Amino acid sequence: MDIDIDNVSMQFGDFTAVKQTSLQIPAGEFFSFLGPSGCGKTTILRMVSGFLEPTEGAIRIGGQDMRGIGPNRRPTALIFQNLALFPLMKVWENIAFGLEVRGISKGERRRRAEELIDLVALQGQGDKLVTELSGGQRQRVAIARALAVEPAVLLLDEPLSALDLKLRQHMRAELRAIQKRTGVTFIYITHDQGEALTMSDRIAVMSQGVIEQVDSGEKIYDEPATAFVATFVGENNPFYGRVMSTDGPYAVIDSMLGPLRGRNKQRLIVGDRAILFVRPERCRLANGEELDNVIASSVDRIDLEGAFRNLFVRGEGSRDIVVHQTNDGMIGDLMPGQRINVGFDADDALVLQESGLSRQ
Amino acid sequence: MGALKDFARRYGMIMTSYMVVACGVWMVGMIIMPQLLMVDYSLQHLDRSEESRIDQQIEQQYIELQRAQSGLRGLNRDLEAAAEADRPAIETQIGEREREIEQIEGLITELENTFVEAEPVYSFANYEYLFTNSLHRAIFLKTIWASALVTFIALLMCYPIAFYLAKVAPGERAALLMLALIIPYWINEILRTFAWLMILSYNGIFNQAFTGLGVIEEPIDFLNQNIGVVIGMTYTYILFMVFPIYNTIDTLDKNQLEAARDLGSPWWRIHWRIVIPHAKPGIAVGCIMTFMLAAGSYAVPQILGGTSSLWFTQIIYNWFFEGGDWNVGSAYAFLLLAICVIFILTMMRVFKVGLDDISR
Repeated sequence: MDIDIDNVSMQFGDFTAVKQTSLQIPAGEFFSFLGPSGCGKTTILRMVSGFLEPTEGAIRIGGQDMRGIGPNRRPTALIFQNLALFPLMKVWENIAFGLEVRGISKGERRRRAEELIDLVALQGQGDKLVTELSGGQRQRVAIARALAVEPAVLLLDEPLSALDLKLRQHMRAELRAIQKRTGVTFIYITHDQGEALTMSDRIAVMSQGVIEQVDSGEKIYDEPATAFVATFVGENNPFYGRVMSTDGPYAVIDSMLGPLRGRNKQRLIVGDRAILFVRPERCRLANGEELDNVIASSVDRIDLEGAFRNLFVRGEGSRDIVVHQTNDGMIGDLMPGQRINVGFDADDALVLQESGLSRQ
Repeated sequence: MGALKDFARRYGMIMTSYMVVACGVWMVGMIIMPQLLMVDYSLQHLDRSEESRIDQQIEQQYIELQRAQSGLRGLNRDLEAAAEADRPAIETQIGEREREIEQIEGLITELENTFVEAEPVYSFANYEYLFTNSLHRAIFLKTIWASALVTFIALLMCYPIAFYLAKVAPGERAALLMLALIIPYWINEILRTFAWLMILSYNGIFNQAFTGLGVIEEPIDFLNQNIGVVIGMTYTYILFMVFPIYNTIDTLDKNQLEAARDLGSPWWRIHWRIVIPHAKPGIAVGCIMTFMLAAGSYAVPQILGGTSSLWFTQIIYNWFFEGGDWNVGSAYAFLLLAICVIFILTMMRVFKVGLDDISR
């Protein structure tokens, strides 16, 4: 079922958690809300699940307005951040709770629970207590419990945040696979861009109750729509300044390090306060190459991470610029203090409006 | 022993010996010894039947003595009035009577010498007395079921209050409500009970208000029926039910309630499957405390009970301080204790909780 969030606002006293937000999520999509804590993503989730009623606007699931319909009567299932499994019930009873509520006989419940246990690869664990399971196994129980009620929409509230890194990465793939297998619409809430980028069909980046951008992961990363998205998703080197001149799709800003040229997606005009963003992996050492922007600087620090290294260089009176170099055997030795030229192409840099960062 | 050593290492020898001595005095001096003494008392039966048999015989001889003495006085009068010829016959009769009196006096002395104080004999006679005395037995049984009734009513009243305080009321209101619950308990139990006397007595507030309003035609005689005692007791011990339940419900993760609701559960099933199983230890503790206090209550039935609503504690009091038989009193008190212990064990079995759950 499609989800239609139509001009929804949520007000808690004087505080506006979500501001006039509109969004359509087609059935079967893996959709993520990405943003820092307090950005309103959990509020949206709770409004979709029915624990909160929006102060303004409408939420429609499968075309039906959900106003006044409680969470127990919506075609949604929610997976809580702390999972909220029932500790006094066995694994299969947890999974079958939604079926028990629907008055399904015990034998049938058990059979359906076993199917779901297979789906989430927990064979043979059905009669254990949930307290006897590991973190990853509990995670699967929570997914199975939510899927048992055959929801049209599965809502996930940072469900992986309690797991350790290895397990988290494994569960990402697992979640994605389960979503593909079941075809259920997943709405995933996270502050972890890695999770959002690896799993989602589309991502909404939120800040202070406003959706800044809705797009695929690639687009979010490569073509951030606002300065907030550029800063929040991935690493970025920002250069502050004002637009000096524009020519076609490009703009030049007067940064502290001199004029820098980048793409002018937002069609800024001369005099606008702007930030030029360039990803560390798009910066290169300018060894006589033809680059649109070249900054004379000196090496401050070198962090070797194994597969790559991060070069922290410093231009004239500027803060650190990070250069990401793949360890391909040809990056050569560098010494701190060494003078080098760092550069990037105008096509790899984005000039975005500065006010977007401090927008209220 | 290991635990004790650990304790000594952490808190030092002085503190440890103090704890050991204090616990020892408490356990032996305050609990074990008085209980043993009571049990010992209760098993000693004073058999006064021999005593009273001799008493009766002595009494009998005194009656004989009086009869003989009055006969002697009559003969003496006859002697004075009689003619000379009749005197020898009368004197013989007097001689016979005097011998008879001497004999009786000897017998009395003999009987008085055989009189011994009744020796206590070990037997179950004191316990048997309760079961042979139909009035006492009826009061004993009534005390048990009325205490169970008080416990049940208190549970029905307190569970919603405890749930509301722990999970529904917002912080400030919960604190205020809690205060409102506690403040009456700053007043002495007897005064609180007297307040109910004002309300429930024949010309009390309740009867005046409801006869005045025409709800009831005749005032209800609460005090001479057990209902007054039950109402007063439920009120008196309500906090002992609220707090254990509140404490356990308070530890329940609110997400579990939302998860159950999200899975489609109606409110009653959430309570039945999630809240009550979680609150079981609290409910068991609350029931145990309320039952024990109700069964052992003296002030409430004394104040709110009439002549026809005696409580078993009042019977025990009478044996000790009015009947003057501490042995039967001890037996009765021990039976009350036994019933309370049985109740505790039953509750633990019914609610499937162990001692460790209760002591938490």
